[in-house]
Amino acid sequence: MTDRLAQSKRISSRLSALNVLAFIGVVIVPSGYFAGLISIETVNMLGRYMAFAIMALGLDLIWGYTGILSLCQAFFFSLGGYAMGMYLAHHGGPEGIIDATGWKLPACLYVVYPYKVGEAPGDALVPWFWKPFYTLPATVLLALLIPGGAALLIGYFGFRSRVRGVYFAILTQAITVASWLVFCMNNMKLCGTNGLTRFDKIAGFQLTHNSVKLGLYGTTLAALIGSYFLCRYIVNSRLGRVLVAIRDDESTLRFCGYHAYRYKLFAFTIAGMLAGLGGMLYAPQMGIFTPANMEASVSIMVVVWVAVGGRGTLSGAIVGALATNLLYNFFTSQHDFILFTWKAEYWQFLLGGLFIGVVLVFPNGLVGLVPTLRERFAKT
Amino acid sequence: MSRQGFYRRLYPLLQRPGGSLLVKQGKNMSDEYEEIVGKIHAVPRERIWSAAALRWRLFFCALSVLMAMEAAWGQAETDAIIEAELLKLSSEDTDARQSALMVLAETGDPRVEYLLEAFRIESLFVWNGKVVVCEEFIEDDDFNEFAPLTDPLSGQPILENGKPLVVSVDDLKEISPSRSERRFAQNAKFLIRLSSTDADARLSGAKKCGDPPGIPASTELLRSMADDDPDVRVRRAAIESLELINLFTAIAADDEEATISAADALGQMGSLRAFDRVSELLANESALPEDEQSAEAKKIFQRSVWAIERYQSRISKVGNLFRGISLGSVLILMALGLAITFGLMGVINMAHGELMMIGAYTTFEIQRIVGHTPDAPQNWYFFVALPSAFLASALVGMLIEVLVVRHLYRRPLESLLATWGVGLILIQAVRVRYGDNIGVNAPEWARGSWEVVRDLNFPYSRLFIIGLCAACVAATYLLMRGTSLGLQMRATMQNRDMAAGLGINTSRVDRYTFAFGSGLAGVAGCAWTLVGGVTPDMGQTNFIVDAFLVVVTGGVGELIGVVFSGLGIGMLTKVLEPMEIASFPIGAVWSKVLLLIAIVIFIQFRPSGLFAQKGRLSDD
Amino acid sequence: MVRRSFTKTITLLGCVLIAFSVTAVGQDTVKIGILHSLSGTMAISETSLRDVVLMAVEEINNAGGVLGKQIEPVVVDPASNWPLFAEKAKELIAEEEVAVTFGCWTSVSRKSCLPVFEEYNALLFYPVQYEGEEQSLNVFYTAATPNQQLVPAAEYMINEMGAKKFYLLGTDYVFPRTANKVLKAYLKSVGVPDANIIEEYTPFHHQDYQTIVGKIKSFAASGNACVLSTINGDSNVPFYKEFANQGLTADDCPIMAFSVAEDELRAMDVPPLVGHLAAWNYFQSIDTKDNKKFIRAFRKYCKANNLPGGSDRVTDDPIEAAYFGVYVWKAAVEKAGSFDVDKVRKAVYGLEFDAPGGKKRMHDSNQHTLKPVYIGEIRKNGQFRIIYESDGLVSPDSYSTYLHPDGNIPAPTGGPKK
Repeated sequence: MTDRLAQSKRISSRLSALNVLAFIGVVIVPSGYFAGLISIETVNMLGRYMAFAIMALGLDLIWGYTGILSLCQAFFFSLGGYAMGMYLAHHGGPEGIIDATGWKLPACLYVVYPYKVGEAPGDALVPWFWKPFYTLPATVLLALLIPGGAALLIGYFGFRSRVRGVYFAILTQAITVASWLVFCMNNMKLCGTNGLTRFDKIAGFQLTHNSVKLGLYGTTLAALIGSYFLCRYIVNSRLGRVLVAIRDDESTLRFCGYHAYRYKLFAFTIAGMLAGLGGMLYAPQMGIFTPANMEASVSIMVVVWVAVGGRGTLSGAIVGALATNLLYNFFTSQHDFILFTWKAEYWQFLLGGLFIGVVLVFPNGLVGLVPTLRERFAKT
Repeated sequence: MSRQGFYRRLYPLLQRPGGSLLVKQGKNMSDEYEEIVGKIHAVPRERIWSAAALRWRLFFCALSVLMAMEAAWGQAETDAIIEAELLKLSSEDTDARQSALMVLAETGDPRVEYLLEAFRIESLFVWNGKVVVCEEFIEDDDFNEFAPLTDPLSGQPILENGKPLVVSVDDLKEISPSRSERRFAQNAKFLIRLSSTDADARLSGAKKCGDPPGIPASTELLRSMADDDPDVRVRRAAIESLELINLFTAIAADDEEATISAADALGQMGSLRAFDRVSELLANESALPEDEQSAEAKKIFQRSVWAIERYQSRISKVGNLFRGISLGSVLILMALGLAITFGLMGVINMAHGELMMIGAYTTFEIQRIVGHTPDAPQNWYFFVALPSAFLASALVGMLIEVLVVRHLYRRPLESLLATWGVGLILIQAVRVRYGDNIGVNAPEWARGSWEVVRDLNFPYSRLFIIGLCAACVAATYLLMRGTSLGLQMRATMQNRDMAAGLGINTSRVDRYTFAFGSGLAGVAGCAWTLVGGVTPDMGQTNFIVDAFLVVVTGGVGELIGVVFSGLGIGMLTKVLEPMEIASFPIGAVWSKVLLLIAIVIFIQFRPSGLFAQKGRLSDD
Repeated sequence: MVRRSFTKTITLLGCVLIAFSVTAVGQDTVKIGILHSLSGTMAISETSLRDVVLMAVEEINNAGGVLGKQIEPVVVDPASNWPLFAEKAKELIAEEEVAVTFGCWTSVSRKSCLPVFEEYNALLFYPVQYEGEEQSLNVFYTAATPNQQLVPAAEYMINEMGAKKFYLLGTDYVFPRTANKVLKAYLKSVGVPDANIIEEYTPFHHQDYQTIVGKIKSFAASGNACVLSTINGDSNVPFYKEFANQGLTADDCPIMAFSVAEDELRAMDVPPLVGHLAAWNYFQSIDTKDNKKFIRAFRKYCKANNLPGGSDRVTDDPIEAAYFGVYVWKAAVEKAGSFDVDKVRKAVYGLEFDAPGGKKRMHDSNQHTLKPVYIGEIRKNGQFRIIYESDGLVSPDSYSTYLHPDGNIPAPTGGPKK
C-alpha cells in the first residue's frame, strides 16, 4: 500500500520533470531560435537527440518494464535510418548516372559501386532493394514495418524457445554484430562503411534550409511526445502490468496461464518500431547514415542512456538520452573555464565518472534525483 | 667437382635464349645493366636481356672471370682479399666498386653478408681511411648527430679504450651504391647464406636459391647440404631446391626427359613450390594438339599435380585444425576471466577488456624496465611480465570491486553501467599516460615457427599461447576444486546468504574471486602481445564482444563451458574461413557473419548455453 | 515545489557554467578548427595530426601570426564517431566561426562532415591519402590520390622487384575496395593474368590472420609474389606478426603497404618486418635540411608539451601533409589578403610552397596536391630507407583514369552559395 503511494508520488514528480522538458522543447527552443538566441544548429542537434530518445523509449519498454535486455536496439534504429537514408539518397546530390533501366543511381552509391570485373561505370544498376524507397509514404511505412518485422522475427524465435536474460542479450548482440558486418561490406551495395551520403531534399524541400530543419525538429518532438504517450498508455494498461509481471516473476505468470511470450513479443516489436521511427527521423537531420550507427557499442550506449536516466520510468529514458548526449557533445570540445582548460579528450573521465556515480549514488537514475533531493530539502 | 669446373659448366647455361621463366622485360633497367656489364666483361649480347635473367647473369659472368684466379683460398687469403677489396668499395669509380663487390661475394665468406647488407642499406662509411659501418646515427639533447661505429666484418662495435667508438657525423664519408649495385648485394646474400652457421639463414638461402629462375651456381653447395646439413629443415629445403633448379634448367634447355623426371620427383615430394610450374607444364602439354602430345609426359605431370594437391590438402587440414585450436585458445584465455567475474559472480563486467589492456600495458612497462629491445634482447622478460600482468590486473580488479562492484551484487544489471564507466576511465587514463602507438617486442623464442613437416609450420607464439591457455584452465580448475578458497568461492557464488551463514567471509571471498578473474584477464592481455597489437581501447574494439559471446555460448556459471565454446567457436571460424560455397570463397568477413548466425541458431536450441547451470544468474 | 527545485537546479547549473566559461577573443585573433579524433579507434593515428597542427600554429604565432592576427586553435574530439564529426564541424563553423578547419582521417568521417562544409561554404584541409573519387570545392586534399601512391607502387613491384603474382589484401571498406579496383585495372593493363591476382578482405579490427597468411604462403611458394596491403589501423599489427611468425620474410614475399607509415611502425615489433615496403609521398628519412629541422621541431614540441612518446616521436606522410596544410592556408590567406573562404580558395590554386619534404604545389583546379612519390623499405630502427623516388612531382587525379577510362568525371561539388 505504501509502495503504491510512493509510486504515485514519484509519478507525479516525474510528470512535472517531463512537463519542464516538454515546455522547453515546445516553447523555449523555438522561441529562442526565433529570438536569435539559439542557433539553428542547436535546434537541429536537439532534434537528433530526441530521435535517440525515441529509441531509448523503446528500450525502456522492453528492458525497463519487461526486463528483457535487448542489445539490438541500434540495429532497428539503423534499419529505420537506412530506409529513410535510401529515400534521401534517391533524391540526393547531383552526381551519379541514369542506369540502363532508367533509374538514377544515387550519388553515394555511384562513388562506391562494386563493379564486377570488366564492368564500366555505365554498367551500374540501381539494386532492386533500393527501389521501394523512392517515395516518401512508402519509405515511412517501410521504415516502421521493416524494423518491426525484424523484431517480430527475432522475438518470435527467441521467445518461443524461451531464451532469457543474458542469453537473449547475447543473441541480439550477435545479430547486431552480424548485420553490422554485412552492412559494412561494399559488395552489398549499401555503400559500405561510407554509408548513405549526399542527402539533399526531403519531400521536395532543401534539407539545408533553416525552416526545414525547424520543421524536422518539430516533427521529431511531436513523434517523441506521441511515442511517450503510446508507451505510457501501454504501461498503464493491463498489458503493461503483465509486462511488469514478466520482469518480476515470469514463471509464476506462466503458471497463471498467461502466454508470456506473446506479451514479450508485443513489447519487443513496439520497441523495434520505435527505434525505427527514431532512425527515420535521425537520418535527415544528420545528413549521413553509416553502419557505425549499428555497432555493438551503440546498442550498449542505449542501455546506458536508459540506466542513467532511470530504468523503468519512461521519463528516465528521455532524460537519460538527452542528458548523456548533451554532456557528450559539450565535453568533447575544448572549453576554457576560469580555473582550468577542459581538454576535449577528457570526456571519457567525465562520462565514466557519471556512469559510476549514477549507479552508486542515484540508483534510480537522474529522474530519481528529483525525489531524492526533494526528500533532502524536506528534511532540512 | 671443383668450383672452377662447376662455373664453367654453368657458363653456357647463361648464353641460352630466355625461356618462359624470365620475367617481363623492365625497360629502364636493362639499359643500365647493359652499360655496366659491357664495361666489366664483354658478353655476347645477341638478344634483349630481361632484368631478372640479367641480374644473375651479371653475377655469374663476373664470377667466371674471377675463376682465372686460383681457386681454393684459405681463410687467411680470404681475409686478405676482403681487406683489399673493402677499400675499393669506397672508390668513386663504378668499375672498381663493381669488381670489388664481385670478389667479395665470391669469397662465400659468411661475414660478407653483413658487409653487403650494410653496403646495400647505405650504412657503409669511410672514416679515417677505413671502411666502417654505422647502422644508425644517435642524437644528443641538442639534436647534434653522432655515429657509433661498427666493424664491417664482425658486426661488433669498434672499441676505443674499451668503449664503443662514437665519432661526429661530419667525419664520415658516405659510400652510396647505385641501384643496380644494391640489387646485386641483395641477391648475393642468398648464396652467401648457404654457408652460414645459422640454420635459419641457411634455410632461407636454400629456399631462395630454388626460386625461379633458380641459381644453378648453388647446386654444388645445395647437394652437400642435402646430404649432411645438421638441420632437417635445411636438408628438406635443399633437396627441394635442387629438384626445382633441375626443373628450371631442364625447361630452359627444352630437355623433355629431364623435365619429366624433375617434375616427377617434385610431385612425389608434394612440393608446393613446384606446383605452379608443374601445372603450367601440364597445361602446355594439354594445349598441344592430340598427336603432338606426349602421353607419358602428360600422365606424369598430371600425377605430380595430383600428388602435390593431395599432399597440400592433407597439410592444410592439419593446418586448419591447428589454427582453430590456436584461435580457440586465444578466445578461451580472453573469456576465462570473464567466466569468473561474469559467469560465476554475475557482474556484467564491461571493463573486462580494459583489464586485459592493463595486462598488455604491464607487459610493455616490464619490457621497458628490463630494457628488452631487438638489439639487446632480454628474452626472459616475458616470464616476469606474465605474473606482473596478473598482479597488476588483479590489483586493479580488486580496486574496482572495492570501489564499485561491491555495491552492486544485488542488482547485477546496473553493474553493466558502472563497469562501462570504469572502462572509459581506464582507457583514457592509459591513453594520457602512454599514448597510442606503443610496440611490445616479442621475446626471440616466440618468433618464427616449428616446421613440423614440409610446408606445415606452427608458430612458436601460438604454441606458447595454447600451452598457457591449458595451464590457466588447469590452474583455475585446481583453485576452484582443490583449495578451500575455491570451495568458499563456489559456496558464495551459489548462495551468498547461506555461505555467510556458514561463517564464510563473503565480502572477502568476493574480492578475491573478482581479483582472480581480473588477473586472468591480465594474463590474457600479456599473452595477446605475442600475436596482436596494443592500444588503449583494444578491450572495447576487440575483446569484450567476443569474450561475452564465448562465456554465454558456453553456459553462464560453468567454467568448463568456456573451454568447449571457445574451442568450438575457434574451430568453426577456421573451418569456415577457407571454405568455398559454390566457388564463392567465404573469407574472413562472411565466416564471421556465419559464425554469429550459427551462435544465434545454437542459442535457439540451447537457450541456456552449452552447459546450463545454476548460479546467481540461473533464475534471472 | 518540485518544479521550482528542479528549475532552480537547472538555472543554478547554467549560471555556474556561464560563470566559468570565459568569453575570450580579442580582435587580433583568428580561430581555426582542429577536427581529429583524440579518443576511440582512430586516436591511434589522429592524435599525432592534432599535435603537429598545433605545432604549426605555435610556429606561425611566434612568427607574428597571419595577417597580423594570432591564430587561436579550437580543438574538439569527434571520438572516432562519424556522426559526431558532422556535429563538431557544425559547432566549429556555426558557433566558433573558425576561418578554416584541419581534420578528418577516414573517408567516412570526411564524407560525414562534407555536407556541413558545403552548406556553410567553409574550408577543410584533409591530410590523409584516400581513394579519390571526390572533388569538393570546400576541401583541399593535401595527401595522395590513387595515382600518386598506388600505381607507382605497383609499377615498382613489377619492374624492380620482378613481381608476377599479386595478393591484394585489405580491410573491407571504401579505400581498400577502390584502391584494389584501381590496382587491378592497372595490373590488367600491363598484362598480369587474372589467375595471378587474388583479392581478399577482412572485417574492421580483424585480429586473426592465420588463415590468410597461410594462403599467402601457398600463393608465394613458387616465388615472384608480393602482397599489396591496404589493411587499416589496428589489424596491421597482428597481420605482420603472423606473417613473420609463419616464417615469411620480405625475401619470400614482400609486402607493399599503403597504410603503414612511421607512426604505425612505432606500434610494431619491427625486426621481422625489415625489408617490407611502403609507398608514400613523404618519409621521415628524406635527407634534407628542411626535413631535419621539421623532425627536430616536432620532437622538441612533443617533449616540451609532455606528449606521450616525447622526443621519440616520428613524423610521417599524413603528419607532413597536416603540417604543410596549415602553411598552405597561411600563404593563401596572405596572398588573398583576407580570410574569406572564396578568396582563399582562389589563392590556393596553383600555390607553390616548401614543405618539409621538399617543394610541392597545389593543383590549379582539382583541389588536390602535386607531390613526389617515394617507396621505402622498412629498416630495423622503424624508419624507411627510400629506394625509389619519382621524377619530380606527380599530378593528382581526383577521379582515377583507370576507373573512368572515358574521362567522363562528375563536376566538383560545393563551392560558393548561389
